[in-house]
Amino acid sequence: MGESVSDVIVLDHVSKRYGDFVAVHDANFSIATGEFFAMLGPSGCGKTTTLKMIAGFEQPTAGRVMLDGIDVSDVPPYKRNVNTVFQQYALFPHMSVFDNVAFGPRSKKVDESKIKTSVMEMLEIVRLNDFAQRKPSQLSGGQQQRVALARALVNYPSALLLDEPLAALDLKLREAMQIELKRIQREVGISFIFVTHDQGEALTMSDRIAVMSQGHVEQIGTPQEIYRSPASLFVAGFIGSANLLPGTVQSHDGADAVVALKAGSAIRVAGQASAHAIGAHVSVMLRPERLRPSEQADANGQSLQGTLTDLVFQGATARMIVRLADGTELTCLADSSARMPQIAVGATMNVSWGADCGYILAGWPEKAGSNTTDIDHIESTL
Amino acid sequence: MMRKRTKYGRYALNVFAGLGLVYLFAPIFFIVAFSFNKPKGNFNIAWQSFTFDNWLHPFAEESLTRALWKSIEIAAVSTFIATILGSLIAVALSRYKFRGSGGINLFLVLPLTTPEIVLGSSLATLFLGQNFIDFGMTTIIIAHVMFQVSFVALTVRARIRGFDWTLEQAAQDLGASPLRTFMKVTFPLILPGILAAGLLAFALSIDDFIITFFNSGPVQTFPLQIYGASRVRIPPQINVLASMILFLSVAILMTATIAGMRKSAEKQATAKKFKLLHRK
Repeated sequence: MGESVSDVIVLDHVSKRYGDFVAVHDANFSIATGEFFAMLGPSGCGKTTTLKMIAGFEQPTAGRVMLDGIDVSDVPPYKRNVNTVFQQYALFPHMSVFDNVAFGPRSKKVDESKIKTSVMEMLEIVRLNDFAQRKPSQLSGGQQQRVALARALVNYPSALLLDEPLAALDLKLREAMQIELKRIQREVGISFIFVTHDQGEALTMSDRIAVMSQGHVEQIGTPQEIYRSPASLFVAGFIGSANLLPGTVQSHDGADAVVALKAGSAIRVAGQASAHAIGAHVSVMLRPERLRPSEQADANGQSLQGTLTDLVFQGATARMIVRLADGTELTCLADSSARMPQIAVGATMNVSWGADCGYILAGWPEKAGSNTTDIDHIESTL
Repeated sequence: MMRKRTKYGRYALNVFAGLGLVYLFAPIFFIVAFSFNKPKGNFNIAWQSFTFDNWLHPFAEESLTRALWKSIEIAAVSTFIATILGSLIAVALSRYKFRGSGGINLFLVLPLTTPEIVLGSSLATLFLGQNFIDFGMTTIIIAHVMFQVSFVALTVRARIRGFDWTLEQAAQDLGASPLRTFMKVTFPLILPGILAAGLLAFALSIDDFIITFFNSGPVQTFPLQIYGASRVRIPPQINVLASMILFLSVAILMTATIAGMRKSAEKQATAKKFKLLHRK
C-alpha cells in the first residue's frame, strides 16, 4: 500500500465484525490531504461503519486506523482530530447557532475572544452570519445542514466526515448543497470523507470514490476510472447504467479480444486480450450513451441487431429499449439532436458502438442486458 | 328527531360531567371554606361564623407547624436523593441495552403495584431486625426514597423516550469529554423531565401516610400529626395549612402548564413564519 506523508487517514487492513456478521472486511486504503473522498454503496455495505471507525464511535476488530500518521484505533472520539456532520445534523436544540458552532472550541478551552472571531468567520463561510442568535428549530433544513458543517469545520479537523449529509434534503436543495459543499471544501482545504448511497452525488462531487458492497471495498478510483473501467459487475451496475452481455472469450486478435455472446453473435472488444484468457466467462459492458442506433449492421462486428420495443424522448436524449433475438434488452441513450434513423417501435434495428467503447468484466451477470440503479432514470421512464 | 336526541344527549353529558366535578371538588371546597370558620370547641366540623383569624395566625398550632416543617424537610432530602438515583436509572435504561435491564424494569414497577401497607410493614420489620438504626428521620427518608425512586425513574424515562442520543455522539465528536457531554448536552435537555419527576416525588413524600406510619418512630410528620390529633381536636389551622399546600401545588402546576403552552405557541409561530417565507 502506498502510504505517503500527505495521507491524512490510512485504513490498514481494517475489519469490523459483530459476532458472525462481517460489517467491514479488510478495508485497506488511504485518503490524502485536501481530498474529496466518497464511500459509495447500497445500505448495509459497511460504509457508515467504516466512517464510524474513523470517527471513533466503533473500534475495528482487526487492523489499524491511522490519523496524521498516528494509530488512533483505541483513541476515544473526543480525542481525535476529526469531526462529523451527522445525517440528521444532531444540532443541540437548546443552544443558539453561535453556541452550537462554539461548542467544539469551548470543549478545547480556546480563549472566548478567539472563539468569537473564528465562529463568526466560519458562519460567514457557510453564509449564516445573520443567523447566529437563532435556535436550530428556527432554521430550514438546508440552513441546519450548514450549521452542522460550520460546527464541524470551526475545529480545523484533519478530516471532515459526512454521513449521508444530503439525504434529508429535497432534490432541489440537494443539488444546490452539492455545489455548496464542493465550494466550502475548496475554501477550507480539508479532506472531506463523504458517505452516500447516491452514485450521482458521488460522481459529481468526489476526487476519488470507494465503491463498497457487503463489507468489501470493490474498487477505489477517480469517478472517470470507476465509470469507464469498473472492477466488477457490481460496480458496473451500481455506477450509472450499463448493458451487460454475458459471453465467452473466443479468441485473441492482437490486443483485442473476441467475445462470443450468449445472445448469438461474436463481438470484438479493443485492447483487453491480456486481461482475459480464452474460454473465460466474461461480460461485455456497453454504456447506454455509447450505443448508436443505426439501420445497417456495423462492418467490424461492433453491432447487434434487435427489435425496438420502446422509445422515450427525454429532451437532450432519446431512450430506446432494444430487444435482442434471445430476449435480452439493451438500453440505448441516443443524442436526440443528431439525425436519427426513422425507426418505429416494433421495427428491426441495429445498435453499434465505437471500437473502444466496450469493456470486458469477469463473470456473468445475474441479469443480462440493461442494468441500472439510477433512480432518476427509473423515475423518468415511469 | 335525530337533532333533538343529540341535543338531549349533550345536555345529559354536561350534567353528568358537572356532577363528576362537584364530586371531585366538593371536599376540597369544604377544606378551603372551613379554613375561614370560627369553630366552637375543639372540632372544626360545623359551620359557625366567618373569620380571617385562622389565616392571620396560620402557625398558631405549634405542634402542627412543627410537623409541617418536618414533612417539608423529609420531602426535600428524600426528593433530592431519589431524583438523582431515579434519573440515573432512567438514563441508563433508555440509553444502554444491558443484561438485567428487564429485571430492573420489574423492580421499578413493583413499589407502584405493591400495597403500601405491605411496603411499610416489611420495611419496619427490616429496620427492627437490626439495631444500628433507630426509627426516626433516617428511616422515614429511606422509606420515602424507596418508593420515590420508582416514580422518578418511570417519569424521567417516559419524558426522554424520544431523546436523540446522536446528540451525545455529536458532542463527543466535537471534543467534549463524557462528563462535559452530560453536563452541557444531555442534562440540560432532560432537565424538564427531571424537574417534573422531582415535583411528583416531593408531593408523594409530603402526602405519604401509611409507609411513614410504620417507620416514623417518634417523629411526627404533617399527615401523622393530623391523624393523631383528629381524635382529640381538629383546629382550623389544619384547613389553613392544607389550603396553603393546595394553592401552592395549583400555582406550580399552572406555571408549568403556561410555560409549556408558551413554548408550543412559539414553535407554531416559527412554523407559520416558515410557511409564509416558502410561499413567497
